[in-house]
Amino acid sequence: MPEAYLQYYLQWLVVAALGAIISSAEIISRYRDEPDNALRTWPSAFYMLLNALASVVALAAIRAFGWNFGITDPTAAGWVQVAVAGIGAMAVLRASLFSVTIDNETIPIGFGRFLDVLLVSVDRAVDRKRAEERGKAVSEIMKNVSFDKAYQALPAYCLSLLQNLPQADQDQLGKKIGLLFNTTGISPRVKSLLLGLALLNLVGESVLKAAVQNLGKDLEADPVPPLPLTPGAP
Amino acid sequence: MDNNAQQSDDFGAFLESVQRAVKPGEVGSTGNIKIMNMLAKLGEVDMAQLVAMVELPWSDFTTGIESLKSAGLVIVNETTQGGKVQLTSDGQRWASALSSPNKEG
Repeated sequence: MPEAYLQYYLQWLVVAALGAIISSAEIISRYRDEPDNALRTWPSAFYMLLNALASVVALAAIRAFGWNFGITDPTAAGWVQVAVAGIGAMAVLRASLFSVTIDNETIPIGFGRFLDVLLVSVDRAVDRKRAEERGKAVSEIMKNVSFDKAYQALPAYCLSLLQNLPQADQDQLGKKIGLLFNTTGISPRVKSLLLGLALLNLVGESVLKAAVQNLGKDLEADPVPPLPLTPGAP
Repeated sequence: MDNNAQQSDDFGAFLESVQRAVKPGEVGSTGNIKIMNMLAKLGEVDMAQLVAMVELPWSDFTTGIESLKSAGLVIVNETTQGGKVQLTSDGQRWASALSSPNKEG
């Protein structure tokens, strides 16, 4: 009997963990460069807790209605209930129950809207947390990098270091760089920082740092020649 | 050669996309900065309202929006009134960097 109790409590734990893990995958996919940092924020924890809770509620509902999915062995039925609750709760949370039309726009109504709002707060919390450290990191890494020398060489080198960056992301990076190149009214220093930020999002801090270190002087601005001394100058 | 291997070595395609995007002979544009700064202030805004606020010629405005969109810095949500535009999270980071004290002029 104690073993059966243990299994019973374990199933509740597993279903909660399943909900949390599925939702953490959603957060990780949004922050591919620093997933661990993204997960260590309060809104992320709340988002995962909410998904875990939804899975637990789904399991409670399945057991209350006595759905065994045609399985007679109670242990096997229990684990199938866990799997269905864990995955089914995610589907229910993300589905829209109905849609309303306002000003010719169709707006889906359901728990999905609530989750979207939560994900936006996760985005903001993660951005706030990382903004300062990213700013410092980019500023430090790109301090001697000249935009004019780096705008092709540095991204190409970073891309060659990575193995699986999708072509669509590479195209978007190319367009960002083109935009920076064509825009006047911002200093070369800011252009260089924005180039660093664009690369940081794609390749992460360590790859960017390694690429700048490896390319070294090839990315540095040419030194300004000293002014010639004029005779009679003090 | 599989697809992944092709992707990893094929930064030639990336360089081509950069070279297509940069136009060295063209007079530089400040329109993109105006659009981004305005969007950073207003959030999501109607296209018609935005064009009036940034005071750019229509052709410059549409070119600017198109290039910002293809660079992933703004998103345009189509509506019957012509569309609403807002900065992406990447665009917001750029806008805050562009408004830093290092900006020229």
